[in-house]
Amino acid sequence: MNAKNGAAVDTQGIVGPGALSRAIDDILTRVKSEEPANRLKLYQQLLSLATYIEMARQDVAAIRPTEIQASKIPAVTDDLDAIVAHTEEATGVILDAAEKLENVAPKLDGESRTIVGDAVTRIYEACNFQDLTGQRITRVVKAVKDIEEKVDALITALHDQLGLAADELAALASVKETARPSLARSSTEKDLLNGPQNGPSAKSQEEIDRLFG
Amino acid sequence: MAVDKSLPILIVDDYKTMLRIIRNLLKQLNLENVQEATDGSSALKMLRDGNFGLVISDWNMEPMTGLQLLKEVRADAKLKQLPFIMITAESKTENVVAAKEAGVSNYIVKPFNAETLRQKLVSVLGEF
Repeated sequence: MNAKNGAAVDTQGIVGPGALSRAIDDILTRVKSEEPANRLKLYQQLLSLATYIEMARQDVAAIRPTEIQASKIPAVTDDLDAIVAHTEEATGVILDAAEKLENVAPKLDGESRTIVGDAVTRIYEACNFQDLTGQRITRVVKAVKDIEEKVDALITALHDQLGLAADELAALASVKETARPSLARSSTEKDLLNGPQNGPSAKSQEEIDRLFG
Repeated sequence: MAVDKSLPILIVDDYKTMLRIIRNLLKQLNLENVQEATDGSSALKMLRDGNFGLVISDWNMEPMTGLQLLKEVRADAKLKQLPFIMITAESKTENVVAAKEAGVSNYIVKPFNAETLRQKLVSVLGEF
């Protein structure tokens, strides 16, 4: 539902102006039916509410959500994408070197061959990091994109107060990166996509083996 | 009977670095008949068209996850008995349970070491 069309609440949970207007009319009707003493109390409470809403509006405008949307979020996701690309490149260089050593190792004498072989294996194992780093960063990018959606909803809801014209809204929409396409999955399977865990949540291979049976 | 080391193996991961690491570790075990896929859909096609003896797959891939690939493999009359090892960063209990229920042969959590890979291959394929 689009809040701008006067529906109660849109898909982002934003209350539309139409619903607010109806709520205010309801309150005014009730106020008129109250005793004078109660009317004064209600009036004071409404005045507090109006002051609070105005202060909240000013606070939100001060956040400058348009600036966040247009430049800060794209900058964050660009930097994170660059981290993934650079670590992948560096890992490739490390693996190139390790593979060269592995090819040379058979030409060495017994002990040296073993030492070099073991070292190469340790390098391969350590390079797991690039995959895990990439997955963690992908999770961060997703969180940033979720924030971007919320900011977008905020801009849409407040565009009148922020003084944005319709063409500016359209221009902001074109700044957003296209998300990777994905097949629709059941919510159950999607819940299983958690990525690398931290601290106590990160199960060791021994714990996995016990679960596996 | 020892495992035939010319066994065709398909490794599946959307990170090319991880494919390279797994390939190199398999090579150290003299398992060199290895092909690669970077997503579940192309892996499934390769499995249906080919004659593989083992799949080693990541979980977190798009558009088809490793779990979906596993389910497709187990639902396929030709592929349902194919040994399938999951190598993944997904380490929650529900992940292991879901994979086991879907018929995974064994489960390796990332980061992993060469010895763990060897042990799981032995448990699935036999000594080599």
